[in-house]
Order: sequence, then structure tokens, then C-alpha cells
Amino acid sequence: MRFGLPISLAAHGMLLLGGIFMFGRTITPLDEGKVVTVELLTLSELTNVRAAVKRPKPKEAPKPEPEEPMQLETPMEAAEKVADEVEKRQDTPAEKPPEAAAEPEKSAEPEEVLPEPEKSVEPVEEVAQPAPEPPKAPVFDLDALSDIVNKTRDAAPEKNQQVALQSEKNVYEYADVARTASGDSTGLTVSMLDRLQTEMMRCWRESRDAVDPESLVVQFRIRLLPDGYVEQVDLLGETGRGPYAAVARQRAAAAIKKCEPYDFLPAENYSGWKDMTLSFRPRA
Amino acid sequence: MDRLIKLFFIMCIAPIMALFSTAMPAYGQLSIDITQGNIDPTKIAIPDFISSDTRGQQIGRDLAQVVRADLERSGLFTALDPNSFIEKQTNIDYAPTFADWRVIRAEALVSGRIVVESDTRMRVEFRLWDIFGNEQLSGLRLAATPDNWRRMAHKVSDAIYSQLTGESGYFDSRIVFIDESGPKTDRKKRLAIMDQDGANPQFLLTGPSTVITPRFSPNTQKITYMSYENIVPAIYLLEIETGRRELLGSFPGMTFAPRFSPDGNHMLLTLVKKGNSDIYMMDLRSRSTTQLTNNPGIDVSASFAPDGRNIVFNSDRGGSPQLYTMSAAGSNVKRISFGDGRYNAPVWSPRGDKIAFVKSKGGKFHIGVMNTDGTGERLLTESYLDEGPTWSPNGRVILFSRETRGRQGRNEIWSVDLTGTNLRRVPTPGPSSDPAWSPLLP
Repeated sequence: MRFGLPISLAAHGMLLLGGIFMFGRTITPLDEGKVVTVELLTLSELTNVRAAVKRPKPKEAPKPEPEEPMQLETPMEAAEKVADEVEKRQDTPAEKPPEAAAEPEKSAEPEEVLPEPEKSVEPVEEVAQPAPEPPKAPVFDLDALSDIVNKTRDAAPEKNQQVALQSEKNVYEYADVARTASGDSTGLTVSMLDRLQTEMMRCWRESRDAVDPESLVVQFRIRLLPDGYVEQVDLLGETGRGPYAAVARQRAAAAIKKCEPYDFLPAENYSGWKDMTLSFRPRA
Repeated sequence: MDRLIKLFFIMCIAPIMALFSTAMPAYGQLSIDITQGNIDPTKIAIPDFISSDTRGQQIGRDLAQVVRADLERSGLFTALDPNSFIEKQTNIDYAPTFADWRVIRAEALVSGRIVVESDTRMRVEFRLWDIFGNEQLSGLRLAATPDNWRRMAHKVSDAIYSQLTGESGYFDSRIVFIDESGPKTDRKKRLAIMDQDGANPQFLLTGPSTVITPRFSPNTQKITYMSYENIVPAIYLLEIETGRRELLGSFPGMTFAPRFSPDGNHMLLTLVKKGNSDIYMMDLRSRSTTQLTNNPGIDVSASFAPDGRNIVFNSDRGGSPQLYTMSAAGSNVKRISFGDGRYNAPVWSPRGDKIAFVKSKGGKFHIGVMNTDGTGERLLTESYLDEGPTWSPNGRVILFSRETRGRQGRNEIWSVDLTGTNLRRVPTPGPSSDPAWSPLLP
């Protein structure tokens, strides 16, 4: 085994030399051809694919009850007789006034979610009493208001649901398969990035005079509204410590606000810049 | 076979998947590196401090003016013109209308109040607001006698400076310097002191004796200087507050440039013995001296690093005056300057990261800075004669003396910051030289 490597090297060398000797004269250079320039194009340069999230599965619609043939309660032959009885019943006055009085309460139920549910019942009493009471001065009753809110929560929970802001609507584009944005008009072009960096240069006071400024990296995540104003700023992280780091963080946060509004970014690419991570990295 | 497939997966497929999973950006997130910002001065609004009485109003106006001047002189701030202010605050305990200050492009606002409680007591209260962050950065209350309003103003400036730069301030400090009078052939040099902004100048010593190279103790209000009052140069220690003067020693031969150690207990000086100048360290308690260098060359201008472990000095042992460092015990001598020209008067920054020096080249003098290992040399000034650099307490500004050319040339004190862009003349009563910056006042 000690001689394995030298033997292998010698054998390979001989094989190489033999190959050159045998095939050396048979190798001829290729004919010179025309040089054809080839431009490499990527799909993203020709497409306009916007970012999309996977379309959520549609909620299953409630299954309709199986259709059944309509059952006639009265045979057709006795129809005339039954119709006469119904007419007679409608002509006679209501035999149960209390039930009739209770009905308006049912109709008032949905109104209980509104601030004035009880007023709809009051007229019934007013009818019973010939002399109406003088109107009371409005009293601000917090307990009553609280009760109303609680009732609203119970009776109409959908009214308490958070409503999406206009700015949050149409934020996502849905597709069968989730995809990232690609194409000229979806991502920020180089010129747009340059513009953003140029604007930031104007707004950001660098901590170049601090001790070891390169260590003072601050990273923020910002969410922008379509009009270019900052909706939310979150500190993702910072590398420095001590008073210099605090100042670096404050200056970066101020820069984000100072550059408002970011209306120089193309509105049609809002999905591309609505959510950005900005890393402020000073250079020595 | 299964094992082989598993092995193949672990060795080949898994790393590729891991690579892709880390390389993929977060969905929908654009990530941008901002690597270039500006170093423009911060625009700060400092309205006159409000007060309910006439005397307080006058102090409020003067105090705000001093704060504005302090911050502007640092080169890091631009004080906005009070006439441009939209909001006139009448109570500093309420948040300002930030939008009004944003309109005039203010980035910070100082709103302050003076409360004169009696003839001997006055309160200064102020709040510093971040206009774009919509928040208060600091709020402080100071108390002193009304006569001391200037120092209060400097303290307010220090607090603002510190909050907005991350560095300690340097405004509540003083400068000792040599006041010069008379013709060049018979010049009188007297020891004087003033605030760092040139206010309140006064002589420290009476009499006509010639004094040179004053140096402040790094942590007390004491100075050391050389005096020629008895023809033989002698080194004195002077307590500024009490005026008490103490002779540290009279050395045979020439003596140069005494300078304190960071703890104030030792002093570096150059003594010329048998025609050879070397650096010595004197223990101020025992008055004993220890020789640190022993070289036939001229070794002068030694200065301690703020941690007291190393010393930078100037020596011509390599053929021309260059800068060298060594340990506090005198070992491990290393040359750190290699550029063209002659290097002199090195001073280690209180921050510890830079060394200031004088460089002469091509008939011009420069004040420069370099890193402590000799890299990153930058020349901050250029003139007919710049010399004697001294650092501000926070290591950001350098004072030096500049002599103008010609028979009528006079000495002046100038300041320059580390960027070299903020060069200013410090007002002095007359021709002045050899400044030494004090530590912050207690």
C-alpha cells in the first residue's frame, strides 16, 4: 500500500502521455464561425407577475335541504270550503289581545342592538295612558350604556368584529398557488431603490463620529400606507450598546419619519414596498 | 438499500434544501440596506427660557443664547432663528405642537423655564423634545445662585449634547492659556484661565514671571506649568480654586513639557542630562523620578493613554522626529508614524482612540490625528505655524495655538473638531498661546 500512490500517479501519467501520442495528430481545431451575441433574458424581465397568496378555500355553502314534493294540506276538492273558513276567521276580531300586544315585542327585538330599544315599547304604554308624562331630561347613565354594549355583543356579534381598513383591503392578490413578485413592474427597480436610498441619505443623520460606528447597525421593519405615510415602525434589532446605540436608534427612527411621505415610490407597485425592512449600517 | 437512500438524502438533498430555505427572503418583504447618511448638523430650536418675573426673563434670554452658541460652536448643531418659531410656549409642562416645529424643520426642541426663588437661589428647568419621535428625550432641573447662570447654561448644553450625540459634553469646562503681551523680542507670558467659550478670562498669577506649558490634571482642578521666574526653569503645581502654589522640582539642565498621568499621581517630563534628553516619570507623592527612555536621540513630549498603560512620545532616534509608543514602564517601544515630514507634540485622546500631533512638512504646519497604532492619519489644519494641541474632555475637539505670519504676526487660540470641518478661533483678551483644556467641572 505504501507504493499505491506513486504507482497510480505513474500509471495515469503514462496513460496521458500515450493518449497525447496516439491522438495528438488527429485533433484538429474547429472552424472559426461567426460570433453570435446572445442576450440573456430572464422571465422576470418579460413578465408582470405580482405577488400573491394562495387563495383560501371557499367556505362550504350550507347544504340545501333535500327537496321534497309539496304536500297539499287540503285536497283540491275541498279547497273552496277551506278558503271560506279562512275568510271568516280573518273577519272576526282577535280573540287574544295579550298575544297581539306581545307581537310588537318580537318585532322590537332586532332593535335592541341599537341604543334605543326600549323606546319602541313605550308607545304601547302611552296608548294605554291618556295623559302622557312630561318628557324627562336626558340622563347620561353609564350602566345603561354598558348594558346596551353587552347586549350588542350577545345579539349581534358581527357588529363587534373589526372592520378592515380601506388601506388594508386589496393588500393581497390571491391566486391558486402562492408566488413572489417578479417582473419589471412588480419589484422596485434599481432606480427606485436608488431614489429610496438617496432620500434616506437626506433624512438619516449617520453616527459616523461615534466610536466604532460600523458596529451601530439598527434594523427596522416599516409598513407603509398607499399614500406613502408610515403606518407602523417596529424595531427588529440593533447591534450596538450604550449611549451611542441609543442615539443611532433614535436617528434611524427619526429618519424614517422625516422621509415621510414615501410618495416617490410607484403607487402601482404598492405591494412591493408596503412592507420593508430597513437596515441602517453606518460606515466608518 | 434504505440506509443508502437515507444517507444520500442527508448528504445531498438536505443541505440543498437548507440552503434554499435560508436564502429565500421573507415573503413579500423588501429588505434594504441604508449605508449612506448625512453628517449635517442637527437643527435644534432653543426658544428663550420662560420666566414669570423680569429678572428671570433676562436670565432666560441670556442663558438660551449661551446654549445656542455652545451647541453651534460644536459644529454638530444648527440653532434655528427664534423668529422662525411658530409656536410660542407659555408652559413647558405640556408637550409642544410637534407639527409646528416640523414645519420649520426642527429636529429637536429645548423648552426651558427659569424660576428665581430668592436672591441666592435660582432654578433652571428644561425639557428636550424629539420632534420626529414625538417624545421627550430628557427633562432636567438645576439649581444655583443667579450669578452662576453661565455655568448653568453650559450644563444645559452638556445635557443636550450628551442626549443627542451619545457622548459626554465639554461645555462646562475651562481653558488655561498663556496670555502674551509686548514685542516678540521682549514678550511677557502670563498664566490665565477662561471658560471654554472665552468668557470670564482672568490671570492666575500676579507678577511678570514668564510661564510656559501649562497642563491640567485629568481629574482635578490643578495645573502644572514651567516657570522661569528664577532663571532656572522650575515645575510648579497650582490649585486653581485656592491659588495654592507648590514647587515640584528644580532640575539642573533643561526641562520640558510636564504632563500628568490619568490618575493625577504621576507626571511625565523630559530632562536633559549630559546633553541627552530622555523621558522620566515623577511620583508626585514621593517626588522620586524614574527614567523611562535611555536613547542617544531626543525623546520629548510624552503623553499617557487614558488607561495609563501606554505612553506616546516624540523621538528623533530614527533620523527625524517621529512618534513612538511604549508601555508605562518604558518597554516595548514601537514607532507608529511613517509619513513624510516631522511629527511633534503627540497627545493621547481622553477617549483613547486617537492621538493628536503636530506635523511639519513643506514649510507648513498641520494639526493631525491618527489611530493609536499609527494608521488612519488625517491632517485637520494647515497654516504657517500650528502647535500645542490639547483635547476637549470628551475627545472630540482639539484646541491649539496658531501664529500668523509676518513681523506683526500674533498668537491666537483655535479649535478644530475631529472631522476637520469646524475650525474656529477662540476669543481671547489678547495674543494667546499654549492652551490646556480642563476636565469637566465638578
